[in-house]
Amino acid sequence: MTAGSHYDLVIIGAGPAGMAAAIEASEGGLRALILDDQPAPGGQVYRHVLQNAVRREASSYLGGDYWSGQALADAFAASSAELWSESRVWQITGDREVFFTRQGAAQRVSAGAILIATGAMERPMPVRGWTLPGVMSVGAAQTMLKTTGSGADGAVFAGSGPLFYLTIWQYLQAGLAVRAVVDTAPARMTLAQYWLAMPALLQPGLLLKGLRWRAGIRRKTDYFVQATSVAINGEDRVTGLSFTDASGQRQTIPAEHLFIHQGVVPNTSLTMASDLAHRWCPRQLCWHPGTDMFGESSVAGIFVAGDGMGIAGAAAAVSSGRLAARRIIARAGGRALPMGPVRRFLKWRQAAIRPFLDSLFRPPDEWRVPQDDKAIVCRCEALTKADVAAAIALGVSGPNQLKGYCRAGMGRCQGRMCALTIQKMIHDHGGQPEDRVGHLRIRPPIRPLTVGELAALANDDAGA
Amino acid sequence: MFRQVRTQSQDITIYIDDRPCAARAGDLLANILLHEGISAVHVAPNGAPRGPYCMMGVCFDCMITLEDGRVEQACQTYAEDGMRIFLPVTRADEAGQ
Repeated sequence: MTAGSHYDLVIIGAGPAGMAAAIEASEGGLRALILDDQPAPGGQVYRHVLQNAVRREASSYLGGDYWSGQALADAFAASSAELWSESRVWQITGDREVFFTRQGAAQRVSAGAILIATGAMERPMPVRGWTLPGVMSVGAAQTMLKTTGSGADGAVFAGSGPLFYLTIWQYLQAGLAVRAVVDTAPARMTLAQYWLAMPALLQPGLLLKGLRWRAGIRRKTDYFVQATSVAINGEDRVTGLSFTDASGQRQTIPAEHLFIHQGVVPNTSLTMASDLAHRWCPRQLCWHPGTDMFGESSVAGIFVAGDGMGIAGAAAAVSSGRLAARRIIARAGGRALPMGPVRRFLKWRQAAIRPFLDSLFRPPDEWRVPQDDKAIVCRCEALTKADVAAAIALGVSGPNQLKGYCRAGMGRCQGRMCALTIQKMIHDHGGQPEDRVGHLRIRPPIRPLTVGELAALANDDAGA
Repeated sequence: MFRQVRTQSQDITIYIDDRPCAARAGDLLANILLHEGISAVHVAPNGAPRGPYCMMGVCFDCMITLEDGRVEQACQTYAEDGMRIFLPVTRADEAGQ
């Protein structure tokens, strides 16, 4: 019976931050539980790592960074922390109760402390045609490589960002033919970016890796840079991609499979639905939950770690997960591990390249709001830029009022795929700063929940 | 078309609109559909076909119907032997276009 279950620490998400926190917490003597929506630990970055490790040579194309997750997942499996997989968390309350659906029934646990480690999601890339079947995100292409070892020959990749290049590199390493790569990052290496690159020199390995990927991609594919005015062609499914290349020529490339990407942003569904304070990050152009240096949010006892608190990558996620766990252990009066300044240094070092990457791959305005009036902005409700713009022109006060005018953000995805676009459109129309425009209000349950699933909770309560 | 870049045994049968399809236990349903050449599985409110996009449970464009009537995300649901799934947009529809 779950109604009475209590843990010292409940962690949401078994990615690098969540696993690292669970290992630390169990070493510190805490009774820890991880709830994760996948069947096995790893998160998106180390997805399927334990299953793939059984025949590692068969998936060697995934590369060393991916395999570094195996040791972490092994250490997590060996720890005393409990893992409830295929558990979809849909609400956290201020008095630290966690509600989730598992095995077809809603359940709940209570916690001394909660760590939200729900990671990142890809920034929506609303261009004309991005809803056509056959168009998928680059993250989706990578997920398929990791989970079933499958890929599409002759695919076209369009966009930019570290994950963009990593996935193309993995595709090529796996022996898949890539038809063309269309980089949409504008040409700009300003003085400010050279300054931002300074701390990145602490991580020359990462910079060299990026350059090596790019050289390989240039050699093996049709490689275009500084592409603008991208449109995806097709009626009922994708047939190709059109864009203007660096020399101003209009190009059209046929494509049966097209993968698009423009960076990742924190997945704030759960942190926002839990009423944690968030602040707009003008450097990463996304919302971050506000936390102290240990990751504790504006709600006492609820912590955030990993990319969900701001994009810094897997290694930094591990550090932030450990740091939060140590704070929680110390607070619980358990065996406090020393807060080594070395850890803080490592966290800084691992995150050092970020300002440079954020600047290099910052999405230009033309990718944040579609140029084409007919491009879909809200996928769930199938609303175009023109539909949303017409509603905004009626004089909305913010994204929440916009819902009432045109239903944008009211579909199944609960604004995950349109909130950032809508916010920018309102900003562009009225001129208020983006942090003032604000994000759509996110309410629990953050995952669809059936009445049947919910009824299980009532039975639980009655029996408790 | 998607293909396997590493060998993988197929040990179960699932049914897509009553058509049998060899698969591997634990595969994502969205993966299986894409391997079958089915990229449109769902219909948007404007009548346009949609299919798997994000593969991580975020976009909700891969909704499928299970035998018991449950509507689930194909990228968040794992294959079991004998599973039956139903699509608003069938492969025949796609082929006929």
